[in-house]
Amino acid sequence: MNVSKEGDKVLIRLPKLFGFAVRSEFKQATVGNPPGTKFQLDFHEVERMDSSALGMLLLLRETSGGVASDIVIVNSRPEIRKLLQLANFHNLFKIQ
Amino acid sequence: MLYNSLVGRVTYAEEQPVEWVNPIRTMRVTMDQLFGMPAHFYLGHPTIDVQHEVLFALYHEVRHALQEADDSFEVADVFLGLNLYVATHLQFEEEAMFATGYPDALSHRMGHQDLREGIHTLYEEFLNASSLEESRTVAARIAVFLYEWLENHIAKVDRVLCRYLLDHAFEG
Ligand SMILES: [Fe+2]
Repeated sequence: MNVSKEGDKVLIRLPKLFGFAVRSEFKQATVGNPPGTKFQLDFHEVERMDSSALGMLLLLRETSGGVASDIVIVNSRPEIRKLLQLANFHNLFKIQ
Repeated sequence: MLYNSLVGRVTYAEEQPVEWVNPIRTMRVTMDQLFGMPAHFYLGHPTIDVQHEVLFALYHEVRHALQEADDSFEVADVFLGLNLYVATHLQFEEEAMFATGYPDALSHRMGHQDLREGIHTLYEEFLNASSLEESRTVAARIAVFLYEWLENHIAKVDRVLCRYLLDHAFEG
């Protein structure tokens, strides 16, 4: 997982396996940012994700302002996009 | 076309049918299972199975938050996520019942209302707790309440609904 910050934007490149094993890194990258921080989650590498990853995405949404949060999911491959859609995440996140 | 929760044919906006393998289930061999859903909760409906998996993940997040590990999220944030997702999931099922004319919709919705009200009441108690100890006790009760509701509702009530939705080719 690779994290970079640019102004009020945090860019997170998620790993091939996005799941429980990276929760510590994910939490570090996402918690404690000032209000109004924008998150871009790059799913380019992600081949598989587990349900704990889906839970972490929801918690990122809540820790970064809930309905006012600014989280964009980009570059997800079709099977991952399908998973996000089944989980109804297209109504909770911007998926590009 | 019907498909099971492991492998299926799905169609995207661009109308390209592709084989779909639930990425969650292919990862169920490592530590990731710690936050997973026990096998007997899978009902064979891809959308509902995935959404139930998320509810289980949030149940595990509540428990993990109570352990205050380095990688735990704050209990209060987990509850916000849980509230949000419970609402999202129950709405999905209720719209599915409405869309397909599910005959047992009324009593099914009453079961959903028990979850909404139970979580709401416990969350109020959590917010009004006067000590850390008390808020932890309420959080633990929420975890137990959620698990018991999931166990009862998914295994019995949702199983019947999923069979009906599959019979009516409702994928969501
Ligand atoms: Fe249900």
